[in-house]
Amino acid sequence: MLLAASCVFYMFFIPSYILILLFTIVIDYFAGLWIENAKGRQRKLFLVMSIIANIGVLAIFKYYNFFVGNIEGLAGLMGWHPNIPLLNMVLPIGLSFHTYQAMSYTIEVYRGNQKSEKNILIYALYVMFYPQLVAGPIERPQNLLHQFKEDHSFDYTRIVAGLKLMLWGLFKKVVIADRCATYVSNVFDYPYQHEGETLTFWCGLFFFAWQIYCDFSGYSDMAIGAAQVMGIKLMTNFNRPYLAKSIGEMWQRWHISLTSWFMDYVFRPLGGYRKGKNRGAINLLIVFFLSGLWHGAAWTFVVCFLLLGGQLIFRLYFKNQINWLYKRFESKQNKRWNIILNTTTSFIVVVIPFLFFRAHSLPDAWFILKSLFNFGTGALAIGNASTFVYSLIGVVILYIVEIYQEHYSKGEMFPEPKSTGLKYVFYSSVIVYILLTGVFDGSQFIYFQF
Amino acid sequence: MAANSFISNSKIKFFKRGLILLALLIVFDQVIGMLMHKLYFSATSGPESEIIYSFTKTDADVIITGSSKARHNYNTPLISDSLHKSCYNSGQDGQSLFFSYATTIMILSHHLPKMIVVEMFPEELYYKEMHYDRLNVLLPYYTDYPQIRKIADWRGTRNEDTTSVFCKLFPFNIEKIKLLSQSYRYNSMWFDLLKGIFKKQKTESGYFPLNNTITENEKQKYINEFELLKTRERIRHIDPNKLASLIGIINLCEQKNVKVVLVMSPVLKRYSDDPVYELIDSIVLRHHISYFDFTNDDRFNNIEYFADNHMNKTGSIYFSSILAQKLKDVLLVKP
Repeated sequence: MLLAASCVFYMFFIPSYILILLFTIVIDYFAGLWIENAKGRQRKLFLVMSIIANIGVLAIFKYYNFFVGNIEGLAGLMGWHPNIPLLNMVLPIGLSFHTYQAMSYTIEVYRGNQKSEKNILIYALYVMFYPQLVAGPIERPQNLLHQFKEDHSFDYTRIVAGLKLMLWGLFKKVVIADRCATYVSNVFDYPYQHEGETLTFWCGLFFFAWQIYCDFSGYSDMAIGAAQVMGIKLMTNFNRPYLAKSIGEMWQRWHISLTSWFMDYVFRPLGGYRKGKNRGAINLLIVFFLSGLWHGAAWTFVVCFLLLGGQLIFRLYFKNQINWLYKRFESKQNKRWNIILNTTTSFIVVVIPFLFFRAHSLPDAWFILKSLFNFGTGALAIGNASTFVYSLIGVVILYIVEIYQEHYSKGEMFPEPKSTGLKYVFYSSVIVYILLTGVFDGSQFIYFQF
Repeated sequence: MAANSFISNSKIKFFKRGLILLALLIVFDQVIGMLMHKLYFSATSGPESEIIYSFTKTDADVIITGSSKARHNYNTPLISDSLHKSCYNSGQDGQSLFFSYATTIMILSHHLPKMIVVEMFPEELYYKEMHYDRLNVLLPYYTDYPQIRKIADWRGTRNEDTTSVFCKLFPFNIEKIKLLSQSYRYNSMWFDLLKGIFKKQKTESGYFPLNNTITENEKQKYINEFELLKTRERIRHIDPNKLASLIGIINLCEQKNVKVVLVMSPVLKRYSDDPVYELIDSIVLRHHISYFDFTNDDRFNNIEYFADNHMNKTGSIYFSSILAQKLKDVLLVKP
C-alpha cells in the first residue's frame, strides 16, 4: 500500500522517471544479496558495481551537462571548439536524496551493519518511502528498513506530535520561506540595480539564510511528521542550526542526514582527523567539495561549500585565537549575552558564503560579496513594505519558537497554553494566520531540485 | 481486552478533538474572514480602495486599465482635460491583462464608459507565473461578483506550466478548495489594509506620478538584467489565458458598444523584433479596433522621460498629451 502510494506520488512529476528509480532499486537489491553471500574480493566488487551504478545515474542525469559545459569551456581556452550534444531533460526530483539513501544500504550491508533485505518490495519502499523520497532526510537502512516490517498501532500522542510537526513545517515553508523568497529574489535576481545599497544586500542575505533554512527544514518537518503519523520514525534533519554557538556546532545541526552521510562514508574512511591536522583539513575540504557538488551541478554551489569548509579549517588551525577573541567580549556574569554573541557571530559568518548558493553566477556572487562590504550609501531598499513586514514577523516567530524549544520546552513543539480549551484556540489561530499570511502560489521547495 | 479498549478510547479521543478543532477553525476562519471583509471594503486609501473604486464605483467616460505602466505613464488629469471627458486610471502595480479583463468585466457590469484604454506591453503576453499569483487581488470579490470568478480560477489552473510539485500533485483546480476558507480570500492583505488606515496615499484619479529620473548607467543595468532574466525563463511562450483575456476585453466592449483602444506606451527597452507585434496586428485587424504602439517611438528614446522602467512625471505628461490627441480622434469616429 505504502509502496503503491510512493510510486503514484513520484509519477505525478514525470511518470517515466520512475524507471530510473526502478533501475537503481533492482541493482542495489541484488547487490545487497550478493555482497552478503559473497566472500573476500567479490564483496568489494559487488559494492563497487552498485556504487558505480548509482553514481552513474547521478553523473548522467545531474552532472552530464555540467561536465560538458566545463569541457567545452576548457577546450575553448585552447582554441578548440567541440560541439558535444547536451541532454535536454528536467532533472528527476530528489535524485541525489534517494541515490545517496540507496548507496548507504549497500555500504552498510558491505560493512556488516545491516542484513540484506530479502523482500524486494520492502527494499523498494526503503528507497521510495514517499514522505522523504524527494527531499530526505537521507535515511540509513538500520533505522528505517525494520520499521516497515513492524506493526504500527494507533498512538494518540505519536499522531498528534506528528501533526504538530507537520503544521510547524508548513508554517516555516509558506509563512517564512516563501515570504522571504520575494525579497531575496528582488536582491539576487537584480543585484546590479541595488548597487551601493549595502544594507539591502545584507538584508537579502539574511532573508535568504532564513528562507533556505525554513524551506528545507520545513519540508523535513512535514516529511518526518507525516511518517510519524504513519508510525515510522525518521531521523532528525535539522536541530535549530541558527541557535548554534559555533560554526562547528552549526554543521552538527544542519542537514544532519547528509552531513552524517558524508562523515560516515567519506570523511572517516579517508582518515578523518586521525592522521593529523593537515590531513584532516584536506579531508574536510574533500567532503565540502562533494557536498557542494551534491547540491547542484554549478560552480556557485562548489564555491559556497568550499568557503564553508574553509571556515571550519580556519577554526581548526586558529581555535585558540578565536576563543581568546571571544573571551574579550564575553561577560562573566551575563551568560545570556554570551549565547547571543556566539549564536549571532556564528550565524553571520556562516551565511556569507550562502550568497554563492543563491547567486545566479560567480560574477553576480562576486558583485554581491563586494557590495556587502562596500559601505557607500548604506541604503536599504525595503521594496514592498508588506512583504518585508510579513517576513520579519515570520522570522521573529521562528526565533521565539526555536528558543522555546531549545531552552524551555519539556518536549512540546510550541509555547502553547496548558488548558485544552485554549490549545484549540491556539492551533486554530495558527492555521488562520497561515491562511492570512502564508504564500500560496506555485512555489517550489528549493531542495527538490537536488 | 484492556489494550483494545485503550486503543479505541484513544481513537475516539483523537477524532473528538479533531472535530472540535475543525469546528473551532471554521468559526475562527469565518469570523476573521468577516472582519477582513469589513476592513477591505471600508478601505479609503491604498491599492485595495483603488480597486474597489475601479470595480464598483467608477463612472468615468474614459477608463485606463493595465499594470504599473498604466498607473505611472498615463497622466489622467491631463487626458481628461484634453478630451473634456472624465477619466479614471485603474492600473495597478504588478498586474497584467488578467486584471485588465477583470476590471473591464466589473466596470461594464455597472457602467458604460465611452472608451476603455488597455495598456499592455509585449512582454506581458508571455506566460509569467507571477501574473497568476497576483490574481489574488480578485479573491475578495469571488463570492459577491461571480462574473470574474473564471479569471480568479485561472490562479489554480496553471498545472502544465508550473514547476510546483504541489500543483502537479493536485491536478484539479486546488484554488477552489482554498477558497472554502474566508480568511484565505484576504491572504497577504492585512498589513496593507492596516497601513491604509494610518497612511493615506493620494493618486490623481488613479494616476501615480514618479518624480525621479533614471541615469544612463541605470538604464543599461535594467536592459541587461531584463535580457538576463529572459534567458533564465524556463518557459517562454505566449500565454493562451492572456490572449483569451485580450480577446475577452475586445468582445465585451464590442457587445456593449464601448470603444476599446490598445496602447503600448513607451518603454526603456526596445522590442522591435518580438513576435507579439505580429499577433497584436492580426487581432487589431480582425476586430477593427484602434491600436497605438509607442514602444519603438524615437520621440521617447530619452532617459529624461523615465524614472525606472516606467515613465516619470515629465515623460508621462509628454506621452499623455500625444496620446490624448489620438484618443480624441478615436472618440470622434462614429461606431
